[in-house]
Amino acid sequence: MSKLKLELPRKVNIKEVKSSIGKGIPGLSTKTLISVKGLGEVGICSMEPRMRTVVFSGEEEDDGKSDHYYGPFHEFRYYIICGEFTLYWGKDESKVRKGTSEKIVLKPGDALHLTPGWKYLVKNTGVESGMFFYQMFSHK
Amino acid sequence: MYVKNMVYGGATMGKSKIKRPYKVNINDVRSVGGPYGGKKDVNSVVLRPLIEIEGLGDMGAAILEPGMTTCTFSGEEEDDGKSDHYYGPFHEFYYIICGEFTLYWGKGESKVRKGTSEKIVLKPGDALHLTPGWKYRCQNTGVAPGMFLYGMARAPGFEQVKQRGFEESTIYYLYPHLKR
Repeated sequence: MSKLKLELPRKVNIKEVKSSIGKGIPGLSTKTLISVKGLGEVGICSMEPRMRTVVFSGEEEDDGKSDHYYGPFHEFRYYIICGEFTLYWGKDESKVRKGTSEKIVLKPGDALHLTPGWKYLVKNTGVESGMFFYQMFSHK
Repeated sequence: MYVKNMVYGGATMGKSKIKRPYKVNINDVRSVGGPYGGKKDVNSVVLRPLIEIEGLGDMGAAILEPGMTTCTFSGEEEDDGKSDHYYGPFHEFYYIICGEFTLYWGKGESKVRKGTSEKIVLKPGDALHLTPGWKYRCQNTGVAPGMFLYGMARAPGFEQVKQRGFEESTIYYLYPHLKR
């Protein structure tokens, strides 16, 4: 017996979606384009130069120091469409926040895998507006 | 989003096997074109698998010249043997960077292949959710080269199934980092 509930494929255009994070924060926009219950979501994040995300954690335990705790996300991946970003990462929230932690510079065409188990912060460190596609999945 | 004892890279988080984040650039990845499983009609489709997590899904970019098409691929629960590729139930997401594409979809392989099935036209800025349970084919129906990003994940509640249409050599060609 089938356990698959059929749904029709669907599309949405980025212009039809409201920004879900960064509302009221000039220069920062995150648009969740498609969300699937029990799986995760995909979307687009746009940032003006010098703008940054909060410190977010994919660690197994929440030490209470990050701004946003997800738990160990399974698949968090970015694709840089335009602009230059820097990913700061590590276990030490203070270093990640100050930008003195380990880092990865990201340019157009780069795909990034944010592996679970770390704290992260992403900043537009370029001179132009930047945009990246993200997907975050979590299998239970 | 918390996943207890999640399987990751053959180990569990609870056993503290934590991988460092990493990046790969699209220009550093070998292009993969046809023929997939001997299907010569897809040999101008360039796929660049960027990041793959074994057994869970992948993320990459597809670049198609005008008129070029993917093979027919199936995310149905059962493999009827008619599609070129069978993945098993999956969710896939596209984001159109440039160009115009048409997604053909349905249960009838012949209609999907001929382009007489239901369809969705895709333009830059469109995000598409390919839901599990259907056959699909995507074609560049514009007048310029097109590119879209894709991400695929196995449908929750379904175990990894035996996929068809990928020889072992093709898998390692698609995902050379699995050999490293």
